[in-house]
Amino acid sequence: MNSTVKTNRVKLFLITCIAGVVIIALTLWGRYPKPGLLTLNDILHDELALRMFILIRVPRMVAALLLGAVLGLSGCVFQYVFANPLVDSGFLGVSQGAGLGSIIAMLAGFPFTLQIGCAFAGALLSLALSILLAKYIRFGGLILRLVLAGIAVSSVLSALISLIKFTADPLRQLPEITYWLMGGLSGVRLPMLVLPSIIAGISCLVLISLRWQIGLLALDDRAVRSLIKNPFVLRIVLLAFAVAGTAAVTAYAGIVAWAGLIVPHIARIVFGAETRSTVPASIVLGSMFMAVCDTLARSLFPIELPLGIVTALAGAASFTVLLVFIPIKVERG
Amino acid sequence: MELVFDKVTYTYPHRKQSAVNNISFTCPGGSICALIGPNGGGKSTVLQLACGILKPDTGKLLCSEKPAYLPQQERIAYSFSVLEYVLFGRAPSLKLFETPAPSDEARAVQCLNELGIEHLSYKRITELSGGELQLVRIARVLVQDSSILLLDEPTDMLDPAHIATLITMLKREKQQGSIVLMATHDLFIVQDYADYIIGIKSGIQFLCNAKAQCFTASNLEMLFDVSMMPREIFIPTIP
Repeated sequence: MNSTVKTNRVKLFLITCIAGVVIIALTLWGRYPKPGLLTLNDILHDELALRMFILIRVPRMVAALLLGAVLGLSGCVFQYVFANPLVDSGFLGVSQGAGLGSIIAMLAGFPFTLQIGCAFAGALLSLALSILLAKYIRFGGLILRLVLAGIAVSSVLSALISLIKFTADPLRQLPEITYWLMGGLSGVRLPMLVLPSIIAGISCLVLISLRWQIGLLALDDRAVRSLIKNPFVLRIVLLAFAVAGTAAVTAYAGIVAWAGLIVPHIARIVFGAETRSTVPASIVLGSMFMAVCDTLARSLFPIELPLGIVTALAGAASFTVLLVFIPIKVERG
Repeated sequence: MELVFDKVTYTYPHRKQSAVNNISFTCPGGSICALIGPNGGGKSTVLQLACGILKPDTGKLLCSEKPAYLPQQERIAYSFSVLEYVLFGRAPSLKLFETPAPSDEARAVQCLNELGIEHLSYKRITELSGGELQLVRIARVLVQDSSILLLDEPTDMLDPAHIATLITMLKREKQQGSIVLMATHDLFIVQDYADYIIGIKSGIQFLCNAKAQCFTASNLEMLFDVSMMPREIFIPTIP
């Protein structure tokens, strides 16, 4: 095993340990019974604090970790599969598709399980539409055609979401949709996480198993086609698993922007471009990023901020810092 | 070991004119075959057809083994380490869920060593000079352990010392029975080391023969549309 891989394994182990400690601290952090850390004394002697910790904070932290892990991982997969560091799972209309499916299910009053199914169907449909459209675009190579198709499909889906908002009942449905679209974990309870956890778990396992091949796909298209038999099929399989995970978490969390874009960048700065390290690192760093953002969202002010706003602010700030202060060479020739 | 083109024609999608038209040639095992011709003549298309990246519209193509291919240029999106970049060349011999084993890494280091660039192993590919990157790309071709090497302008950006290293490597591959099919504009390499020459202009085959029969000033003038004269130049000494 080469020294880069060995060093990265040690780094990843250390970061995971630090993340563990941070996550425990963040779960204890909040505004009840007073702003700050929940103490053992509070948990043992205040029944409300105990119930709040077990029934609200722990499920919410699990939801945030799952959300961050999946968004970080799928962002990483998208960035390598498209050989483009400026894309994430919102690309190709996947987030918007999942969002549209969920909104339709919400308005139709479907149970949560069906809502996940609708989010998944919406995400897969948008992926299929983008790929189909890319096939017929008579301009550029596969990657560029997918980028162009993704822009068009995302735009159509955003317009459909706006149309639903426009026609929704302004007193009952519109606030529900608007708040959901901003992303948030305030309504999450443990039973809601069972199905998304299974889907996201399978998605993560498959993608981690293919972590080396994910990096290979970022080479020049002619080189990729000379090295593996059917790169198109491999790309579609990877995207399908990334989309499945994204749809499962979008169904309970809404559209949470920026995590999928920024987390793989941070992973590459810490671990280098090698996907054998960057893929698992995106899961750990994504979880940590989301745990921090959700803790800020629920505890920064007396009222809760939508998670999507916090991730957008934190993501944009990190992105600016990366672009201004850290020299990253991403392209050559 | 053989690479055979039999009346192969290929037209790129949405184009009217064929990129290569009715091309026929055979590269026998243990030979260096040079693909020469003016820019845009169809050399790279021939290599991509041989590699299987493009499928012929008509004609037959026989390739006894999956070839290793060096594209003319490559877009680099991420700054992989040199070792990881070379290791990607092991992909054809790995199964779907497999990652490179220590033996694959040892082979990659050996290939870097053969080209005299082992010291670059842990550098980032975006930090390399043009020539260094070219050598790293050649190492990725070597690490595939294929007996058919398809090289698109392999000497591009290389200094004379590295050209000498490359040619030594190509001669060794030839001795081991491999086929080297390379597109090149370095006529001194063609003159001194090629066994067969395939000349292509506007997608049409002009020459195809053993070098001794067809490497003449008149043939080259016809191929490149420019007058040619022999003169002495300094070239690297190949051991």
